[in-house]
Amino acid sequence: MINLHTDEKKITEVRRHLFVFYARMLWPVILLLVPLLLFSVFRGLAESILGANDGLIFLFFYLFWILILWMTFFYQWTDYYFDVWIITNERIIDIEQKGFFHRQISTLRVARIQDITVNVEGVLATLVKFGDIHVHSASHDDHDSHSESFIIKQAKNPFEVKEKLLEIARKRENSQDMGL
Amino acid sequence: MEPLDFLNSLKPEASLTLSPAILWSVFMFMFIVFAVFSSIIFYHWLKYDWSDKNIKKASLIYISAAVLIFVSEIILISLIF
Repeated sequence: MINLHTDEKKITEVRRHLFVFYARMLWPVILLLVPLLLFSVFRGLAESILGANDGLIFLFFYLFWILILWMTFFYQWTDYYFDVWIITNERIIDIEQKGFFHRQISTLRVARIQDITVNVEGVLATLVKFGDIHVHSASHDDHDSHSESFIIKQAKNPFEVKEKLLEIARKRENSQDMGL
Repeated sequence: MEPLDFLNSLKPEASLTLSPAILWSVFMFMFIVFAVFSSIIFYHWLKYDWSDKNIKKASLIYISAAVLIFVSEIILISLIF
C-alpha cells in the first residue's frame, strides 16, 4: 500500500468503470458454456467412450474447468482493482498494475495541475458514464512524474472526478496564496 | 430423426476406462495449481491492503467457491467408483 505524507489525506480512489471489467469478463462466460454445448451435442459419443457414468465423469472435468475460469476471473479482478488513481489533498498517485508481477507507480503534485481533459467517446461510454481523464502538468521536469500528462482510461464518472480534482487544486492554490 | 443424431453413430471400437488413480491424479494436479495460484493472489491482496473491505469480500467468495468445487469433486469420485 502507498504511504502518505504527514498531513496528507486520501480524498478518493478512481478506477475503471465496472462495466469495462464485466465486458472483459464476457469471454470466460462464453468459455463456461462451451463444454456444456459440446457435451449435449456429443452425448452419444461420450457415453460410448466413458460408459454409463459419462455424466458424472463429464461433471468431474467440467468442475475443474469452472475452477480455472474462477481463477481467471479473480486474476482479472485483481488487475482491475489494483489499477487505481489515489487522489489526496497533495497529489495524484497513479498505480498501474499489469498482471501480477508488473506494477508502475507515478505521482503528480496537485499544485502542478495545469489542465484536465475528459474524453467520453461512443454511445456506451456516454450511457454508462465512463471516459478517459487526461491531467496535464505544468512542468516537464517535475521529479514526481514521468511525463507531462497523466491518463486514467475508462474511469467511472469522469466529469465528477475532473470537478473534484479542480476543487482540490483550487483549495491547494488558495492555501499556498495564504502562506499555509 | 434429430439433426445431430448422426453424431451418436460415431461410436469407437474400444471404450476408455478411467481408474480412480487417474481421477485422483487429476484432482491432485488441480489442487496444486490452485494452491500455487492462490498463494500468489493472496500475497498481492495482503500486500495491497488487507483492511480493504472489497478485498476481504473477494477473498471470501474466492475461497468459498473453490472449497465447494473441491468437495464436490471428492463426492463425484466416490460416486463414479
